[in-house]
Amino acid sequence: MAKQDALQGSLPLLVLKILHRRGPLHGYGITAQIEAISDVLRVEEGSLYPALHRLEEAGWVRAKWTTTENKRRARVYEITPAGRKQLQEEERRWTSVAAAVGQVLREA
Amino acid sequence: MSWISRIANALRTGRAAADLDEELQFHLDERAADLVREGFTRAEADRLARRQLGNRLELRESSRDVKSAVWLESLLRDFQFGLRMIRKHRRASFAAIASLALALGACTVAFTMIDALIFRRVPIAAPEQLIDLARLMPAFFSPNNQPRESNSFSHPQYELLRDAARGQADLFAMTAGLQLALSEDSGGFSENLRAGAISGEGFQILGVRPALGRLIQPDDDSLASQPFAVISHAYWKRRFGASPAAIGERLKLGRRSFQIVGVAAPSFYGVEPGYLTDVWLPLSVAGFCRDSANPDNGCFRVWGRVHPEANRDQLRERLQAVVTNFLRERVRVNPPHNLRGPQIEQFVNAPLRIRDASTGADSLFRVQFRRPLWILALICALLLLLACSNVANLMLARASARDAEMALRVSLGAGRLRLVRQMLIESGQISVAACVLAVAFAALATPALVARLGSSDFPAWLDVAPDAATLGFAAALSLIATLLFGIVPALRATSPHSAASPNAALKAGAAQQSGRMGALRSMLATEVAFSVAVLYLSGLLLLSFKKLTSVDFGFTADNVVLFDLAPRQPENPSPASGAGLLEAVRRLRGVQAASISLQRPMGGDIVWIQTPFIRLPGGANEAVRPREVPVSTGFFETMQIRWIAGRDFLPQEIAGDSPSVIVNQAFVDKFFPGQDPIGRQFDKIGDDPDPVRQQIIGVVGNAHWNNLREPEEPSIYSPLRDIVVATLNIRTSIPAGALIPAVRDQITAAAPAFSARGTTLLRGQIDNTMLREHLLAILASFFSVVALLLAAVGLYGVVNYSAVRRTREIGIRIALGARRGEVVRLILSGTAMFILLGIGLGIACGLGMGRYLASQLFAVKPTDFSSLAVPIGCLLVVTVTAALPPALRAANVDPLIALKYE
Repeated sequence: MAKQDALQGSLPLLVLKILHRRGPLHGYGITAQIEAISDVLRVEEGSLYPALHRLEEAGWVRAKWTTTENKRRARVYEITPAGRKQLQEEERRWTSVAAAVGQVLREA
Repeated sequence: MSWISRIANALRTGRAAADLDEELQFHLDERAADLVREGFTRAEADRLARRQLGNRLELRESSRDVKSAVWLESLLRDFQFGLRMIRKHRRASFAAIASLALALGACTVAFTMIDALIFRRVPIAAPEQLIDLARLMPAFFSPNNQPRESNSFSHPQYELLRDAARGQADLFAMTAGLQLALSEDSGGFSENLRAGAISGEGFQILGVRPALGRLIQPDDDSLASQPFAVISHAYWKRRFGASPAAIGERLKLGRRSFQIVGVAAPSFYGVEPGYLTDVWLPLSVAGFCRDSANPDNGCFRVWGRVHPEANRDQLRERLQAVVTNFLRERVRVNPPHNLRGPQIEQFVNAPLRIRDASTGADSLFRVQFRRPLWILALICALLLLLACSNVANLMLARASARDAEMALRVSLGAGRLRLVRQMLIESGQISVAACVLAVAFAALATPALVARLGSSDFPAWLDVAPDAATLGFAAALSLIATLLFGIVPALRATSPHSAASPNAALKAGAAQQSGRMGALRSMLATEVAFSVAVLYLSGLLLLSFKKLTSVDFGFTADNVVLFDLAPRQPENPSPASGAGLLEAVRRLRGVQAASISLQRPMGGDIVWIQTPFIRLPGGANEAVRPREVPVSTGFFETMQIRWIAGRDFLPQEIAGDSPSVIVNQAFVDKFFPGQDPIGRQFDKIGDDPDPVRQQIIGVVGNAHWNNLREPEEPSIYSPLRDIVVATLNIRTSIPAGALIPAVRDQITAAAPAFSARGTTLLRGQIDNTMLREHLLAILASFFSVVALLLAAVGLYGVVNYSAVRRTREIGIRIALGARRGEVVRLILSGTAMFILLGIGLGIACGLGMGRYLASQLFAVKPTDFSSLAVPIGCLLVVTVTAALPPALRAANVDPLIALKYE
């Protein structure tokens, strides 16, 4: 299991990516998705909600209250056009950082 | 989203928190459900889910920081807390708000009036281009021997100026001083109204638009044209109920009838702040100026608009040359008889000035009320400072009650800045409430005050409806006031003094804060100083008014009615007509005596008085110029002016060409001291080119003629010969008011050659000359009462505070055998020093400012210490009344209760 600290900076990226791929999801759904995809990554649940709210403030996701199949109110998040743009940006940066780190690991 | 949602979330913290809780609860439930599916028991699943999510409170905090404007939230809390405090200290808050509102309101009233009268620009487009022309006349031209600007130009002069300015400025002419005319329309309705004459291009150049019909055009301004008139929007509403049918109606002004062709835009009151011009007439048709083609007859003002790119200096040079050349030619053709050698050269070369007229003309109203309004503003400002120190005092005293609260807040970790902010917010709330009340007060009081500034003959008109400037002023002033009265208590209450030792402060009554007592007392000294200053200045104004009203008029004012008199056929005036009228009037029932005078007695500053040069036999022109008052027979009897020697005019002296004149005592004292004046002769150099030989036939006592402020001037009463416009003076044997309509009807019946209107009582006329002083006196008394009240409230607060604070000490003293008198002295002695200090400061302040009042004072010097006796006496009485009750209460403390108190 990776250290959560390493994930901190990339949590917004992951959230945006998942929302981009899977469409609107509630907070727990996002956690579950990340866990389902990766055995290694575990979302620190405590940091997910502040992160989501920060994304919402930045205008990259928007939230609305919906009702689930079992008649409960759930807050569902959806990526916005600005969010998509931000996602591309972050992805590009992540790839280049990862590549750079990989190169150092290989050649050092 | 972003800041709007943050503010929204701050405004409804409860809602945002609930949303967050629900979201997190949903997460927990989902997780728990999954865990149950994985085989955990329900209770285990809940516990695990909660552990995985982490501390919910912490989560809520960090999300709130993101989602809500925290500063706003705390501000709101301070705001609510402030309102609670104000409600809790209801009486003190009410006193603070009421006194501040009164002072702020008074300042706003003064500001509104000063703005409307002095600073506001004429309501036309690009007012900054507006100018008028004036010449700086040499000193010898004016009776008081001072250089003075003259804005009179003759019509031929105006035409030359207009043509010379072309390309740089568009000039137009108006009548010199807008006159009050008698009107009568087709319906037979008559009233006084203010009429102005303007040259044909005037309205175009001013850029005024019609609200209805059209304005005066260049073709209207010719003798051949139909007599048209334009009326003001206000007059249209007042007289015609804003009916479009007003167009085409006829107005009879003087002897001519004018057809209304249009109504001016609502905002256009004219160009004379203080007056509303009801009717505008074309210059050459108006007939306001006799013989307007005469090149030496200066009865027009020249106004204009300077083109933005024009060079004003160049324009001035050009116009100066025009005026100088014109006058040089006039002096050659028609040599002035009252000027000699170098004086003529000075007259011709008198410098022309292009004056900025963007704020309108320096109307008589503005000239008269400028200084009084500034004095009013000065007193209002003092009053505001007084109110501020009073409120600061109240807040300080209240803050003492909150020592424990403040200490508690500090020990719970509140920063000083936060506490200061909280106190300032409280002050701000008081200010806002006071500001709202003040604006409402000003909106009501200002029009009422403006109405008092005018008389029935000269109604005052100022646009004092609350506008952005008024509101901005009130708001800015409130902000300043908040800082003035809020900052000291805020800093004091949260001073490290108490903050450093929350422990001590938390123990009730234990805090011995001499610092706070000192602040309270010096605030009290300030307060007393301001109130003494207000009382001092007000005292000067009141004393001045009292002296003015007790002046010996030199005549008897009661039961005299004055009528404006005009012959119906002035084209062929007959000297006998006046005598005939008087004979008819004197026969009327209720008339005790009657006479005619050229000017209206007590006409105030608007009446034009002749001041001819005189020359004693064999002497040169005297430096002192007496005033000349043309009167009919029976004048001194009607006015009841004291006879000293000689006799009245005979009817044939009025009718014929006799040299007889009557002079007053001051004239005799000045020119024939110690001699028998009857039969003496002198030469008078007036309007006629040649000196006129005069012979004294009678001497009368000194009497005021224009107003009560004037000194007793040497006066000549000369026979009034042709009556064009004059005043009929009637002394009635019964109270005059009831007689007026009857007398007027009888005059019409008995002397159909004259029309008599514009009735006033001489008493009312005298009051009109004292409007300024009266107004200042009324306001001064009002402000004095307010100042005394505020001082009393402040003093009571301080003495009360010091007594309560020292209850324990007093208890000990009494228990140890101190007598009541000693306790009272103990309580008062500290405060008395500061009161005396305040009185001293206030007197110094008053003396400094008193000089500014000097020009408005009558027979009172600013250094007149007798005017101090009353204010200081009042203040001392108020001091004792306010300070004794709490001191006595303290002295009656039961030592047992006081000591057990802790």
